[in-house]
Amino acid sequence: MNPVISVENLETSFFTKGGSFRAVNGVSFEIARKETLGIVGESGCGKSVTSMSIMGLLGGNGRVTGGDIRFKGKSLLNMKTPELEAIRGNGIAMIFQEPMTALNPVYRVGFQIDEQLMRHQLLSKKDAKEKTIEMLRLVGIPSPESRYSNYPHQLSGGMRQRAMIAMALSCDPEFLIADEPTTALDVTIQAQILELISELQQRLGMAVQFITHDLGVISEVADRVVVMYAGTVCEVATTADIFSKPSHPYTIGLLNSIPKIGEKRDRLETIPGNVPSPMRLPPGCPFQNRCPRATEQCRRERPQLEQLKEGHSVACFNKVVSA
Amino acid sequence: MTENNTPPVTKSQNTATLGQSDTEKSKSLLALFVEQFAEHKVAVVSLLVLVCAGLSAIFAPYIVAILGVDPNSQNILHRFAGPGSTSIMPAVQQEERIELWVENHPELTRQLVDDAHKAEMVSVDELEEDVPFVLNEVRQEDPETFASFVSQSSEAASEFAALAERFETYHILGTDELGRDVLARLIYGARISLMVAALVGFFSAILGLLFGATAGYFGGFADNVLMRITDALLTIPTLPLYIIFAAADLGKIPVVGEMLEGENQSVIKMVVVMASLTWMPIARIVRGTVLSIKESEYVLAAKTIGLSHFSIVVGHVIPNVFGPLVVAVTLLMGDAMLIETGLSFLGLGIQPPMASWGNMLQNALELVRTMPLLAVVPGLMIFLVIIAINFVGDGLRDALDPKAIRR
Amino acid sequence: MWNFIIRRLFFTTIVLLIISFVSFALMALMPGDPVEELMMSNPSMRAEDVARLKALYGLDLPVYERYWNWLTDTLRGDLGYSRTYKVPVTDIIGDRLINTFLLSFTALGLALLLAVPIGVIAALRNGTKFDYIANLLAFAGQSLPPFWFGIMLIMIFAEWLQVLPAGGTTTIGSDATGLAALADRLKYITLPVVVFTVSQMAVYVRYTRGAMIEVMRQDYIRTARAKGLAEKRVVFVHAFRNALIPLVTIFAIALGNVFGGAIITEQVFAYQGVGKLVFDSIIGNDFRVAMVAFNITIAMVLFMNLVADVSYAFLDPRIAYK
Repeated sequence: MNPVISVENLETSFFTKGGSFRAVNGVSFEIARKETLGIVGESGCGKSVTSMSIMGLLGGNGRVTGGDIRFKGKSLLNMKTPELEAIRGNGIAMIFQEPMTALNPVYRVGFQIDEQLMRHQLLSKKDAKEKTIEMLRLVGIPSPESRYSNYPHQLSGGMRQRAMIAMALSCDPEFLIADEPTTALDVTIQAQILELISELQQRLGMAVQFITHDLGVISEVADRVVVMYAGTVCEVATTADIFSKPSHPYTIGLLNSIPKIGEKRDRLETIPGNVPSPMRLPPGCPFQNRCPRATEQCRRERPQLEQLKEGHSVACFNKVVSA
Repeated sequence: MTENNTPPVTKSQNTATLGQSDTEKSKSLLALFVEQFAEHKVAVVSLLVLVCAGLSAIFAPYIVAILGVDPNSQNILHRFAGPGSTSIMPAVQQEERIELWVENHPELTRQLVDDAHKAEMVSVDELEEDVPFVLNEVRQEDPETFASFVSQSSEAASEFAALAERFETYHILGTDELGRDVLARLIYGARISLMVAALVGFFSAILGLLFGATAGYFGGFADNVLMRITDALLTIPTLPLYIIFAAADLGKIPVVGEMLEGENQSVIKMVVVMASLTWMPIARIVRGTVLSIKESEYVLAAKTIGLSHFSIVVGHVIPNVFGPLVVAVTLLMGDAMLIETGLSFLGLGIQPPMASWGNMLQNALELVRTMPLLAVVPGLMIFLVIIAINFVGDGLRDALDPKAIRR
Repeated sequence: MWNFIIRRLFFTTIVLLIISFVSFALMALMPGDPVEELMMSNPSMRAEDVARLKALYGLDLPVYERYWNWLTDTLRGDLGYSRTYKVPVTDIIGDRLINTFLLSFTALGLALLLAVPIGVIAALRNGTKFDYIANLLAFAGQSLPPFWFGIMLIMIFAEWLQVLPAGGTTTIGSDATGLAALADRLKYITLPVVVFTVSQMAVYVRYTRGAMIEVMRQDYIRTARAKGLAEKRVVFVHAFRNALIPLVTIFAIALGNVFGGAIITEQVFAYQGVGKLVFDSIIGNDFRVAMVAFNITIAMVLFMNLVADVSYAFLDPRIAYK
């Protein structure tokens, strides 16, 4: 199986005036064609930084300091800027969380999609416009010809996100990174958008990396799931296994904290404690101070990802093994 | 494949134990603020400069007394004297001073005359009343002899010598077009200019707080009216208006005229006019804060606990508005100084003989030829103080910006 | 949009009327009304003559009536006579306007041309030495008292180096025409332009830099990069266009302050523009001239403020397409 994207032991660090720290600390995963990988974790666990590392959009004081990222077999980290720019928006596309601020308010929606087409596919203005309108139609925006000339603020939240998706997919990317695309939307719109992404994925055959903190969304869209905590991967498994046979104490804690219909409870279950600040990571397992199963070993050594069974890996010395 | 040049985690590794929360102790806001301000080296330096300027302005009379100079005493014979020169009081004035001294200190005078006779400084048949004047002449013509006389004689002679010392002034920076000591005028000028800036800042802040808080709190019609006025005033170009205000003889308006009596007239006029035209940005800031507090959710929460409306607003608005207010007022003071010195330069602000850095430059165009120092220094002072104020304002802004607060 | 403009015009007119009244009233308070001056130089004037003269000049009427007369006269185009120059006001105003426009537009144009690139580059290189120095210089420029700066320039260039004149508008008595006249003008305008340009530049550099930094932090810049656009395009097409909005507003307002801001500079360099006219006429109690010069200044500011607001609405689609 040739994965479209493969991330090997990625380490990304930030260098600030207050000190430097590793936001991503040894993350590995692969995604194949037509496959959706869900990345789940709390805020600050490094899931967005991972995506930015892949895109090469870390900004001023962030840098990949270890590991490798391969797109269709070729390492992205060695590429020069022009090569990267050619891949961005073309081979790899990304959609973001807040569509209102993600679109430039002073240019029309059509223009913003046109320019991507003209840049990567070298289309003429006329051809680009045609394709753009087609894309807008594809993502389910009614009367795309008039919407083409609208400004972002003239569209509703759901429509903006659709426009963003149209923009991202306009050049037929092979890999799509969706960074919390539905978090800012209403639940009903959310469902529509998720459906849209699935549909387009099937149609275009993309690999999709879906980042969210919402386990409900994960259960709907992901084929496989990566659970991240404080810059490391805790558990990788199929969606079914993650929900039915979670192994890492963190995953179990996450699942337990979701209130279930039909279950009667007096209190919501939480994971006690807080995520450690990336500048003050303890040696050993990052989850040690909140883990009900932590032992001395956990405080000394960092657990590595070990295969539990085919397609299911866990990084824990005291993992739960269900029947 | 990148090399493994991962940086080690540089902060201390905190081995947290089970059950203990991992949050760091949060510093008090004040400490945070001071720390962040201190990061701005330029701002800190500027603050020191301003403190020095302020202190010298406050203690001006003492400094001037120590140096033995006077910002107001003119000496036409010693105009435009260069730096480091000594000017001598005109003879007539000297004699007046001696007469006064003799009148006020008859004992000392008698003692002095005795000493003079003993030391044979004056001829025996010299009239008693002329002795001090003769001694003065000796002092001027033969300072060494005079000095030795004083050291060998009684206290009276020393007192007399002290008096005479003041007949000569050492001008560190020279004298201006009327023979007044430049350094003394600079120090007093600092006093006036800084005071005007501070007063304008203060009153402007009060006006701004009043208008802004009222508009924000009451909203509706009051808000509308007040904001219209604010906007209108904001669009007016200030300098032409200042000129008219400054040039007009406000004494003709009944009530105002009485308020403006006295030598501080120009100062009061300046402060009033400037304060009434600079409060608008402050009002805007205050209003904005009040509005956002009013609508913010935690005020609603406080209300549900049953606090009175007023105490909510006061309690929440003040800490929130304090930061931006301080920054705005600081920058406003810089502007005020610029305007005051500009107006004084044009002859419309602080009137001589009161010294302001601005009016010291009034005749600067002529001075450029006769005494460049006088054209350079006052303006340089203005520049340095204003730039210092601006740096401090900038530093304050960064220090108070919650977004900039790092962990 | 039109609604907005009409309302603003209305509002502006009200403000202008109020200000013209206030300035009229204040000027009426100034010492030196012509009849009093006559009385002082001619103490034996009889009371009847005083009363007659006052009636002639309309000085015995209450302020409101005098103001109304002035307003109606002015709106009819009768701007009155200058007491100082003894010619109709209209004769004086024309040249002065040209002089000030020449000075201001040159300075503002130069300031913009130099400051915007510096500001953009400083923003793109935020935190580097270039940025630090640019910001520092901008600070200095804003804190620099223009009258002192002018004096310094005169000292250096007119007194020591003797390459430029110390003041004035043109060489007196010269009857050069065409290119030679222009060159002559240039000599006199150089130093004032420098003073004006420096203070304006400082403001523009800071605003451009600030706006660009703010814009570059926005999400849509990240999106533009994620689309694979070249960085140059990201900066100039996506970022700059957004930073332009506040910049144009500032520029329009600066344009409005063209007369008021010139007052000090023109005074220092004895440059015969509207600014100097405002000052001289108010101080010299040349009433009709003062009213015209002052109110033109105010009107210009108010008008350009309106232009600024309109252009803001025009440039920002969020407002234009409500």
